[in-house]
Amino acid sequence: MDQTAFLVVVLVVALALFFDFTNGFHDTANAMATPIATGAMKPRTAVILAAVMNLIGAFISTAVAKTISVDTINGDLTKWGPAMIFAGLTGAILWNLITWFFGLPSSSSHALFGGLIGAAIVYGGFDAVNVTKIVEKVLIPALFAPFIAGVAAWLATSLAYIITGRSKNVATGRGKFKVGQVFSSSLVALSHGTNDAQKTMGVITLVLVAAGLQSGDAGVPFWVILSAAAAIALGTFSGGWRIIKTMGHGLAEIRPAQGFAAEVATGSTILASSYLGFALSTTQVASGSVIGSGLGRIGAKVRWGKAGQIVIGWFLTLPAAAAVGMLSALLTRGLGTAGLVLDAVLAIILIVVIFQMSRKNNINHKSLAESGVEEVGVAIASPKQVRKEAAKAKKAAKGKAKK
Amino acid sequence: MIEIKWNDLIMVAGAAIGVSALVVTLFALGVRLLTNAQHAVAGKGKKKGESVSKEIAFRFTAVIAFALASSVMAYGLYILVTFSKLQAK
Repeated sequence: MDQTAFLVVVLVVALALFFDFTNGFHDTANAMATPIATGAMKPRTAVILAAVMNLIGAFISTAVAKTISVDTINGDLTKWGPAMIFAGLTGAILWNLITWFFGLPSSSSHALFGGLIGAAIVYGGFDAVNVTKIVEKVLIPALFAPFIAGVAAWLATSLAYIITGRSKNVATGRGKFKVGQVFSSSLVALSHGTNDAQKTMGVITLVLVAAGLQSGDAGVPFWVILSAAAAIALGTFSGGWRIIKTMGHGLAEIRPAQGFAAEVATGSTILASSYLGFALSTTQVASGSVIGSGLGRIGAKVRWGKAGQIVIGWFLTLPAAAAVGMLSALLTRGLGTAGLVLDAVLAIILIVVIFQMSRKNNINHKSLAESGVEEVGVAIASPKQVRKEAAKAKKAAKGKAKK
Repeated sequence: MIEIKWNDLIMVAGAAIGVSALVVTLFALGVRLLTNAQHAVAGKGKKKGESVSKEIAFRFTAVIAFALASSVMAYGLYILVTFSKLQAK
Protein backbone atom coordinates (compact mmCIF):
# COMPACT_ATOMS: atom_id res chain seq x y z
CA MET A 1 0.00 0.00 0.00
CA ASP A 2 1.45 3.37 -0.96
CA GLN A 3 1.78 6.28 1.44
CA THR A 4 -1.07 8.33 -0.05
CA ALA A 5 -3.54 5.45 0.21
CA PHE A 6 -2.48 4.89 3.80
CA LEU A 7 -2.97 8.57 4.62
CA VAL A 8 -6.45 8.42 3.08
CA VAL A 9 -7.31 5.50 5.38
CA VAL A 10 -5.98 7.43 8.39
CA LEU A 11 -8.09 10.44 7.40
CA VAL A 12 -11.25 8.34 7.00
CA VAL A 13 -10.68 6.57 10.33
CA ALA A 14 -10.18 9.95 12.05
CA LEU A 15 -13.40 11.23 10.48
CA ALA A 16 -15.28 8.08 11.56
CA LEU A 17 -14.09 8.63 15.12
CA PHE A 18 -15.18 12.26 14.94
CA PHE A 19 -18.61 11.07 13.77
CA ASP A 20 -18.67 8.76 16.80
CA PHE A 21 -17.83 11.76 19.00
CA THR A 22 -20.70 13.81 17.53
CA ASN A 23 -22.97 10.79 17.93
CA GLY A 24 -22.07 10.72 21.64
CA PHE A 25 -22.70 14.37 22.38
CA HIS A 26 -25.75 14.46 20.13
CA ASP A 27 -27.35 11.57 22.01
CA THR A 28 -26.39 12.33 25.64
CA ALA A 29 -29.85 13.83 25.96
CA ASN A 30 -31.59 10.52 25.24
CA ALA A 31 -30.61 9.19 28.64
CA MET A 32 -29.74 12.23 30.68
CA ALA A 33 -32.10 15.07 29.71
CA THR A 34 -34.86 14.09 32.12
CA PRO A 35 -32.72 13.37 35.23
CA ILE A 36 -31.00 16.72 34.70
CA ALA A 37 -34.35 18.48 34.19
CA THR A 38 -35.82 17.06 37.39
CA GLY A 39 -32.67 17.64 39.42
CA ALA A 40 -32.15 13.90 40.00
CA MET A 41 -28.53 14.45 39.02
CA LYS A 42 -26.32 17.47 38.53
CA PRO A 43 -25.59 18.05 34.81
CA ARG A 44 -21.89 17.18 35.11
CA THR A 45 -22.57 14.04 37.19
CA ALA A 46 -25.20 12.94 34.68
CA VAL A 47 -22.93 13.22 31.64
CA ILE A 48 -20.08 11.45 33.47
CA LEU A 49 -22.43 8.57 34.31
CA ALA A 50 -23.71 8.50 30.71
CA ALA A 51 -20.14 8.49 29.38
CA VAL A 52 -19.14 5.58 31.61
CA MET A 53 -22.26 3.61 30.64
CA ASN A 54 -21.65 4.26 26.93
CA LEU A 55 -18.03 3.13 27.35
CA ILE A 56 -19.11 -0.10 29.06
CA GLY A 57 -21.89 -0.60 26.51
CA ALA A 58 -19.42 -0.32 23.64
CA PHE A 59 -17.41 -3.23 25.06
CA ILE A 60 -20.39 -5.53 25.77
CA SER A 61 -20.46 -6.87 22.23
CA THR A 62 -19.19 -6.09 18.77
CA ALA A 63 -21.97 -8.06 17.11
CA VAL A 64 -23.50 -5.16 15.20
CA ALA A 65 -20.06 -4.00 14.09
CA LYS A 66 -19.19 -7.43 12.74
CA THR A 67 -22.34 -7.73 10.74
CA ILE A 68 -22.73 -4.10 9.71
CA SER A 69 -24.44 -3.83 6.39
CA VAL A 70 -26.08 -0.73 5.15
CA ASP A 71 -29.23 -2.36 3.80
CA THR A 72 -30.40 0.92 2.37
CA ILE A 73 -27.60 0.72 -0.22
CA ASN A 74 -27.52 -1.95 -2.92
CA GLY A 75 -24.19 -3.61 -3.44
CA ASP A 76 -20.95 -3.87 -1.55
CA LEU A 77 -19.79 -0.66 0.09
CA THR A 78 -16.16 -1.73 0.04
CA LYS A 79 -15.96 -1.76 -3.77
CA TRP A 80 -16.00 2.05 -3.92
CA GLY A 81 -13.05 2.41 -1.56
CA PRO A 82 -12.47 4.57 1.55
CA ALA A 83 -13.15 7.86 -0.30
CA MET A 84 -16.85 7.02 -0.71
CA ILE A 85 -17.17 6.25 3.02
CA PHE A 86 -15.35 9.52 3.75
CA ALA A 87 -17.93 11.45 1.71
CA GLY A 88 -20.80 9.69 3.50
CA LEU A 89 -19.33 10.45 6.91
CA THR A 90 -18.99 14.14 6.01
CA GLY A 91 -22.73 14.30 5.32
CA ALA A 92 -23.57 12.56 8.59
CA ILE A 93 -21.27 14.77 10.68
CA LEU A 94 -22.45 18.04 9.20
CA TRP A 95 -26.13 17.14 9.64
CA ASN A 96 -25.45 16.05 13.25
CA LEU A 97 -23.78 19.40 13.93
CA ILE A 98 -26.54 21.44 12.27
CA THR A 99 -29.28 19.70 14.30
CA TRP A 100 -27.15 20.06 17.44
CA PHE A 101 -26.80 23.79 16.75
CA PHE A 102 -30.57 24.16 16.62
CA GLY A 103 -30.99 21.88 19.65
CA LEU A 104 -32.95 19.32 17.64
CA PRO A 105 -32.69 15.69 18.70
CA SER A 106 -32.33 13.68 15.47
CA SER A 107 -31.13 10.18 14.72
CA SER A 108 -27.36 9.88 14.22
CA SER A 109 -27.86 6.48 12.57
CA HIS A 110 -30.24 7.97 10.02
CA ALA A 111 -27.69 10.72 9.36
CA LEU A 112 -25.05 8.05 8.75
CA PHE A 113 -27.36 6.12 6.41
CA GLY A 114 -28.25 9.37 4.63
CA GLY A 115 -24.64 10.43 4.14
CA LEU A 116 -23.65 7.02 2.79
CA ILE A 117 -26.70 6.87 0.49
CA GLY A 118 -25.82 10.27 -0.99
CA ALA A 119 -22.24 9.22 -1.59
CA ALA A 120 -23.35 5.86 -3.03
CA ILE A 121 -25.60 7.65 -5.56
CA VAL A 122 -22.57 9.52 -6.90
CA TYR A 123 -20.45 6.38 -7.06
CA GLY A 124 -23.06 3.85 -8.16
CA GLY A 125 -26.00 5.84 -9.57
CA PHE A 126 -29.59 5.82 -8.31
CA ASP A 127 -29.66 2.03 -8.61
CA ALA A 128 -27.43 1.99 -5.56
CA VAL A 129 -30.33 3.17 -3.40
CA ASN A 130 -32.67 0.55 -1.99
CA VAL A 131 -35.89 2.58 -1.66
CA THR A 132 -37.83 -0.37 -0.23
CA LYS A 133 -35.35 -0.73 2.61
CA ILE A 134 -35.44 3.02 3.26
CA VAL A 135 -39.21 2.79 3.75
CA GLU A 136 -38.88 -0.35 5.89
CA LYS A 137 -35.90 0.67 8.01
CA VAL A 138 -36.17 4.45 8.23
CA LEU A 139 -39.63 5.82 7.42
CA ILE A 140 -41.88 3.23 9.07
CA PRO A 141 -39.84 3.07 12.31
CA ALA A 142 -39.73 6.88 12.38
CA LEU A 143 -43.52 6.89 12.35
CA PHE A 144 -44.00 4.20 15.00
CA ALA A 145 -41.04 4.67 17.40
CA PRO A 146 -42.20 7.90 19.05
CA PHE A 147 -45.80 6.69 19.07
CA ILE A 148 -45.04 3.39 20.86
CA ALA A 149 -42.71 5.06 23.38
CA GLY A 150 -45.18 7.92 23.85
CA VAL A 151 -48.07 5.58 24.68
CA ALA A 152 -45.83 3.58 27.06
CA ALA A 153 -44.65 6.75 28.82
CA TRP A 154 -48.16 8.23 28.96
CA LEU A 155 -49.58 5.07 30.57
CA ALA A 156 -46.66 4.71 32.98
CA THR A 157 -46.85 8.36 34.04
CA SER A 158 -50.60 8.17 34.56
CA LEU A 159 -50.18 5.04 36.70
CA ALA A 160 -47.40 6.65 38.74
CA TYR A 161 -49.58 9.67 39.47
CA ILE A 162 -52.65 7.59 40.34
CA ILE A 163 -50.71 5.33 42.70
CA THR A 164 -48.86 8.14 44.45
CA GLY A 165 -51.88 10.45 44.46
CA ARG A 166 -52.31 12.71 47.47
CA SER A 167 -54.46 11.18 50.17
CA LYS A 168 -55.54 12.63 53.51
CA ASN A 169 -52.54 14.04 55.39
CA VAL A 170 -50.08 11.92 53.40
CA ALA A 171 -47.65 13.63 51.06
CA THR A 172 -47.12 12.15 47.61
CA GLY A 173 -43.41 11.47 48.13
CA ARG A 174 -42.85 11.73 44.37
CA GLY A 175 -39.38 13.17 44.93
CA LYS A 176 -38.28 9.57 45.60
CA PHE A 177 -38.61 8.85 41.88
CA LYS A 178 -35.32 10.74 41.48
CA VAL A 179 -33.47 7.72 42.89
CA GLY A 180 -35.13 5.49 40.32
CA GLN A 181 -34.16 7.93 37.58
CA VAL A 182 -30.46 7.32 38.24
CA PHE A 183 -30.88 3.62 37.43
CA SER A 184 -33.35 3.96 34.57
CA SER A 185 -31.24 6.58 32.78
CA SER A 186 -28.12 4.43 33.26
CA LEU A 187 -29.88 1.57 31.49
CA VAL A 188 -30.77 3.81 28.56
CA ALA A 189 -27.16 5.08 28.33
CA LEU A 190 -25.83 1.52 28.43
CA SER A 191 -28.12 0.35 25.65
CA HIS A 192 -27.08 3.40 23.59
CA GLY A 193 -23.40 2.46 23.93
CA THR A 194 -24.21 -1.11 22.91
CA ASN A 195 -25.83 0.04 19.68
CA ASP A 196 -24.25 3.27 18.50
CA ALA A 197 -20.53 2.81 19.19
CA GLN A 198 -20.68 -0.36 17.16
CA LYS A 199 -21.82 1.47 14.04
CA THR A 200 -18.55 3.40 13.99
CA MET A 201 -16.61 0.20 14.65
CA GLY A 202 -18.40 -1.27 11.65
CA VAL A 203 -17.60 1.73 9.45
CA ILE A 204 -13.90 1.68 10.40
CA THR A 205 -13.72 -2.06 9.77
CA LEU A 206 -15.39 -1.45 6.41
CA VAL A 207 -12.70 1.13 5.57
CA LEU A 208 -9.94 -1.30 6.52
CA VAL A 209 -11.50 -4.00 4.34
CA ALA A 210 -12.02 -1.54 1.46
CA ALA A 211 -8.37 -0.50 1.67
CA GLY A 212 -7.22 -4.10 1.69
CA LEU A 213 -5.74 -3.80 5.18
CA GLN A 214 -7.99 -6.52 6.57
CA SER A 215 -9.91 -9.49 5.21
CA GLY A 216 -13.71 -9.27 5.11
CA ASP A 217 -14.33 -12.15 7.52
CA ALA A 218 -11.89 -11.02 10.20
CA GLY A 219 -13.30 -9.58 13.41
CA VAL A 220 -13.17 -6.01 14.64
CA PRO A 221 -9.59 -5.18 15.73
CA PHE A 222 -9.21 -4.31 19.43
CA TRP A 223 -7.80 -0.83 18.69
CA VAL A 224 -10.98 -0.10 16.72
CA ILE A 225 -13.21 -1.19 19.63
CA LEU A 226 -11.12 0.83 22.09
CA SER A 227 -10.99 4.00 20.00
CA ALA A 228 -14.70 3.89 19.08
CA ALA A 229 -15.68 3.30 22.72
CA ALA A 230 -13.44 6.17 23.84
CA ALA A 231 -14.76 8.52 21.13
CA ILE A 232 -18.43 7.95 21.98
CA ALA A 233 -17.71 8.22 25.71
CA LEU A 234 -15.78 11.45 25.20
CA GLY A 235 -18.57 12.84 23.05
CA THR A 236 -21.13 11.90 25.68
CA PHE A 237 -18.99 13.49 28.36
CA SER A 238 -18.84 16.74 26.38
CA GLY A 239 -22.60 16.84 26.81
CA GLY A 240 -24.76 18.05 23.99
CA TRP A 241 -26.23 20.69 26.27
CA ARG A 242 -28.36 22.28 23.57
CA ILE A 243 -30.23 19.05 22.90
CA ILE A 244 -30.37 18.21 26.61
CA LYS A 245 -32.12 21.54 27.11
CA THR A 246 -34.67 20.81 24.37
CA MET A 247 -35.40 17.29 25.62
CA GLY A 248 -35.41 18.20 29.31
CA HIS A 249 -37.34 21.46 29.20
CA GLY A 250 -38.26 22.35 25.64
CA LEU A 251 -40.70 19.54 24.91
CA ALA A 252 -42.61 19.28 28.17
CA GLU A 253 -42.41 20.18 31.83
CA ILE A 254 -40.89 17.16 33.49
CA ARG A 255 -41.11 16.16 37.14
CA PRO A 256 -39.37 13.18 38.78
CA ALA A 257 -42.25 10.69 38.35
CA GLN A 258 -42.60 11.67 34.70
CA GLY A 259 -38.84 11.50 34.16
CA PHE A 260 -38.69 8.01 35.63
CA ALA A 261 -41.67 6.86 33.55
CA ALA A 262 -40.16 8.38 30.38
CA GLU A 263 -36.80 6.64 30.88
CA VAL A 264 -38.36 3.30 31.72
CA ALA A 265 -40.52 3.62 28.59
CA THR A 266 -37.44 4.51 26.50
CA GLY A 267 -35.40 1.64 27.94
CA SER A 268 -38.11 -0.98 27.53
CA THR A 269 -38.96 0.15 23.98
CA ILE A 270 -35.32 -0.01 22.89
CA LEU A 271 -34.74 -3.36 24.56
CA ALA A 272 -37.94 -4.86 23.15
CA SER A 273 -37.13 -3.58 19.65
CA SER A 274 -33.54 -4.87 19.77
CA TYR A 275 -34.65 -8.24 21.09
CA LEU A 276 -37.43 -8.69 18.56
CA GLY A 277 -35.36 -7.41 15.66
CA PHE A 278 -37.29 -4.26 14.85
CA ALA A 279 -34.64 -1.55 15.01
CA LEU A 280 -35.86 1.81 16.32
CA SER A 281 -33.98 5.06 16.72
CA THR A 282 -33.04 5.79 20.36
CA THR A 283 -33.51 9.52 19.79
CA GLN A 284 -37.00 9.14 18.36
CA VAL A 285 -37.98 6.75 21.15
CA ALA A 286 -36.65 9.10 23.85
CA SER A 287 -38.41 12.13 22.32
CA GLY A 288 -41.70 10.22 22.13
CA SER A 289 -41.32 9.18 25.78
CA VAL A 290 -40.82 12.75 26.93
CA ILE A 291 -43.95 13.89 25.07
CA GLY A 292 -45.91 10.91 26.42
CA SER A 293 -44.86 11.65 29.98
CA GLY A 294 -45.86 15.28 29.42
CA LEU A 295 -49.33 14.16 28.42
CA GLY A 296 -49.56 11.71 31.31
CA ARG A 297 -49.52 14.33 34.08
CA ILE A 298 -52.63 16.43 34.39
CA GLY A 299 -51.74 20.09 34.03
CA ALA A 300 -48.38 19.49 32.36
CA LYS A 301 -47.70 21.42 29.19
CA VAL A 302 -46.41 19.84 25.98
CA ARG A 303 -44.79 22.32 23.63
CA TRP A 304 -46.17 21.10 20.33
CA GLY A 305 -44.38 23.77 18.34
CA LYS A 306 -41.00 22.40 19.41
CA ALA A 307 -42.23 18.81 18.91
CA GLY A 308 -43.23 19.75 15.34
CA GLN A 309 -39.77 21.19 14.64
CA ILE A 310 -38.17 17.99 15.89
CA VAL A 311 -40.38 15.81 13.68
CA ILE A 312 -39.53 17.95 10.64
CA GLY A 313 -35.86 17.47 11.55
CA TRP A 314 -36.34 13.68 11.60
CA PHE A 315 -37.81 13.61 8.12
CA LEU A 316 -35.13 15.97 6.78
CA THR A 317 -32.26 13.94 8.28
CA LEU A 318 -31.94 11.35 5.53
CA PRO A 319 -32.28 13.65 2.48
CA ALA A 320 -30.20 16.45 4.03
CA ALA A 321 -27.33 14.16 5.05
CA ALA A 322 -27.60 12.50 1.63
CA ALA A 323 -27.33 15.87 -0.12
CA VAL A 324 -24.14 16.76 1.78
CA GLY A 325 -22.81 13.24 1.17
CA MET A 326 -23.47 13.67 -2.56
CA LEU A 327 -21.69 17.02 -2.76
CA SER A 328 -18.78 15.61 -0.84
CA ALA A 329 -18.67 12.51 -3.05
CA LEU A 330 -18.69 14.65 -6.21
CA LEU A 331 -15.41 16.17 -5.02
CA THR A 332 -13.81 12.89 -3.97
CA ARG A 333 -14.86 11.12 -7.18
CA GLY A 334 -14.03 13.98 -9.51
CA LEU A 335 -10.72 15.10 -8.05
CA GLY A 336 -9.46 11.91 -6.39
CA THR A 337 -7.13 12.42 -3.44
CA ALA A 338 -7.06 16.18 -4.00
CA GLY A 339 -10.86 16.19 -3.77
CA LEU A 340 -10.71 14.26 -0.55
CA VAL A 341 -8.28 16.78 0.95
CA LEU A 342 -10.46 19.65 -0.30
CA ASP A 343 -13.48 17.91 1.23
CA ALA A 344 -11.68 17.58 4.56
CA VAL A 345 -10.66 21.26 4.55
CA LEU A 346 -14.20 22.40 3.69
CA ALA A 347 -15.67 20.13 6.36
CA ILE A 348 -13.25 21.50 8.98
CA ILE A 349 -14.14 25.08 8.00
CA LEU A 350 -17.87 24.36 8.29
CA ILE A 351 -17.42 22.57 11.62
CA VAL A 352 -15.44 25.53 13.01
CA VAL A 353 -18.09 27.98 11.73
CA ILE A 354 -20.90 26.00 13.42
CA PHE A 355 -18.96 25.85 16.70
CA GLN A 356 -18.20 29.58 16.52
CA MET A 357 -21.85 30.40 15.86
CA SER A 358 -22.88 28.20 18.79
CA ARG A 359 -20.59 30.19 21.09
CA LYS A 360 -22.66 33.32 20.49
CA ASN A 361 -25.54 31.55 22.19
CA ASN A 362 -23.55 29.27 24.43
CA ILE A 363 -25.36 26.66 26.47
CA ASN A 364 -23.37 24.65 28.98
CA HIS A 365 -23.88 22.70 32.18
CA LYS A 366 -23.84 25.90 34.24
CA SER A 367 -26.52 27.71 32.25
CA LEU A 368 -28.55 24.52 32.20
CA ALA A 369 -28.41 24.19 35.97
CA GLU A 370 -29.42 27.80 36.45
CA SER A 371 -32.24 27.90 33.89
CA GLY A 372 -35.89 27.47 34.72
CA VAL A 373 -38.60 25.91 32.60
CA GLU A 374 -40.14 29.24 31.62
CA GLU A 375 -37.05 30.65 29.93
CA VAL A 376 -36.51 27.59 27.79
CA GLY A 377 -37.36 27.97 24.16
CA VAL A 378 -35.69 31.37 24.21
CA ALA A 379 -32.40 29.80 25.20
CA ILE A 380 -32.42 27.55 22.17
CA ALA A 381 -32.71 30.23 19.58
CA SER A 382 -31.01 31.06 16.34
CA PRO A 383 -28.40 33.86 16.44
CA LYS A 384 -30.98 36.08 14.71
CA GLN A 385 -33.47 35.48 17.52
CA VAL A 386 -30.76 36.12 20.10
CA ARG A 387 -29.92 39.48 18.47
CA LYS A 388 -33.62 40.33 18.37
CA GLU A 389 -34.00 39.51 22.08
CA ALA A 390 -30.90 41.56 22.92
CA ALA A 391 -32.22 44.56 20.93
CA LYS A 392 -35.56 44.26 22.69
CA ALA A 393 -33.86 44.20 26.11
CA LYS A 394 -31.72 47.21 25.14
CA LYS A 395 -34.81 49.13 24.05
CA ALA A 396 -36.60 48.30 27.28
CA ALA A 397 -33.59 49.40 29.33
CA LYS A 398 -33.43 52.71 27.40
CA GLY A 399 -37.15 53.27 28.00
CA LYS A 400 -36.66 52.72 31.71
CA ALA A 401 -33.70 55.12 31.84
CA LYS A 402 -35.75 57.84 30.12
CA LYS A 403 -38.50 57.49 32.68
CA MET B 1 -41.80 -5.11 -2.40
CA ILE B 2 -42.10 -3.38 0.95
CA GLU B 3 -42.26 -5.90 3.73
CA ILE B 4 -43.26 -4.56 7.12
CA LYS B 5 -43.01 -6.97 10.02
CA TRP B 6 -46.31 -6.05 11.61
CA ASN B 7 -46.19 -8.92 14.10
CA ASP B 8 -42.80 -7.79 15.38
CA LEU B 9 -44.01 -4.23 15.59
CA ILE B 10 -47.09 -5.24 17.60
CA MET B 11 -44.90 -7.36 19.89
CA VAL B 12 -42.47 -4.47 20.42
CA ALA B 13 -45.37 -2.16 21.25
CA GLY B 14 -46.97 -4.69 23.60
CA ALA B 15 -43.71 -5.51 25.40
CA ALA B 16 -42.67 -1.86 25.70
CA ILE B 17 -46.03 -0.69 27.03
CA GLY B 18 -46.47 -3.71 29.32
CA VAL B 19 -42.97 -3.66 30.81
CA SER B 20 -42.88 0.08 31.41
CA ALA B 21 -46.32 -0.01 33.04
CA LEU B 22 -45.21 -2.91 35.25
CA VAL B 23 -41.90 -1.34 36.37
CA VAL B 24 -43.41 2.07 37.04
CA THR B 25 -46.40 0.57 38.89
CA LEU B 26 -44.08 -1.45 41.16
CA PHE B 27 -41.79 1.50 41.81
CA ALA B 28 -44.73 3.84 42.44
CA LEU B 29 -46.20 1.31 44.87
CA GLY B 30 -42.85 1.28 46.67
CA VAL B 31 -42.86 5.08 46.85
CA ARG B 32 -46.44 5.12 48.13
CA LEU B 33 -45.76 2.50 50.82
CA LEU B 34 -42.56 4.21 51.92
CA THR B 35 -44.42 7.49 52.27
CA ASN B 36 -47.16 5.72 54.22
CA ALA B 37 -44.48 4.25 56.51
CA GLN B 38 -43.07 7.71 57.19
CA HIS B 39 -46.59 8.93 57.88
CA ALA B 40 -47.25 6.02 60.25
CA VAL B 41 -44.20 7.00 62.32
CA ALA B 42 -45.30 10.60 62.48
CA GLY B 43 -48.97 9.66 63.16
CA LYS B 44 -50.51 11.08 66.30
CA GLY B 45 -53.21 9.75 68.65
CA LYS B 46 -52.34 6.11 68.04
CA LYS B 47 -50.77 3.53 70.24
CA LYS B 48 -47.00 3.39 69.80
CA GLY B 49 -46.90 -0.38 69.16
CA GLU B 50 -49.59 -0.15 66.52
CA SER B 51 -47.80 2.58 64.52
CA VAL B 52 -44.47 0.75 64.74
CA SER B 53 -45.90 -2.49 63.36
CA LYS B 54 -47.68 -0.56 60.61
CA GLU B 55 -44.46 1.21 59.72
CA ILE B 56 -42.56 -2.08 59.51
CA ALA B 57 -45.27 -3.64 57.35
CA PHE B 58 -45.26 -0.65 54.99
CA ARG B 59 -41.48 -0.60 54.75
CA PHE B 60 -41.26 -4.36 54.18
CA THR B 61 -43.84 -4.25 51.37
CA ALA B 62 -42.12 -1.20 49.86
CA VAL B 63 -38.81 -3.06 49.78
CA ILE B 64 -40.49 -5.97 48.00
CA ALA B 65 -42.02 -3.62 45.43
CA PHE B 66 -38.65 -1.91 44.79
CA ALA B 67 -36.93 -5.30 44.56
CA LEU B 68 -39.45 -6.50 42.00
CA ALA B 69 -39.08 -3.32 39.94
CA SER B 70 -35.28 -3.68 40.10
CA SER B 71 -35.53 -7.35 39.05
CA VAL B 72 -37.47 -6.43 35.92
CA MET B 73 -34.85 -3.77 35.09
CA ALA B 74 -32.05 -6.23 35.80
CA TYR B 75 -33.74 -8.70 33.45
CA GLY B 76 -33.67 -5.96 30.82
CA LEU B 77 -29.93 -5.65 31.37
CA TYR B 78 -29.58 -9.43 31.13
CA ILE B 79 -31.45 -9.39 27.82
CA LEU B 80 -29.19 -6.61 26.56
CA VAL B 81 -26.01 -8.55 27.36
CA THR B 82 -27.14 -12.03 26.32
CA PHE B 83 -28.82 -10.76 23.16
CA SER B 84 -25.60 -9.01 22.14
CA LYS B 85 -23.66 -12.23 22.79
CA LEU B 86 -26.21 -14.26 20.79
CA GLN B 87 -25.84 -11.87 17.87
CA ALA B 88 -22.06 -12.22 18.07
CA LYS B 89 -22.40 -15.98 17.57
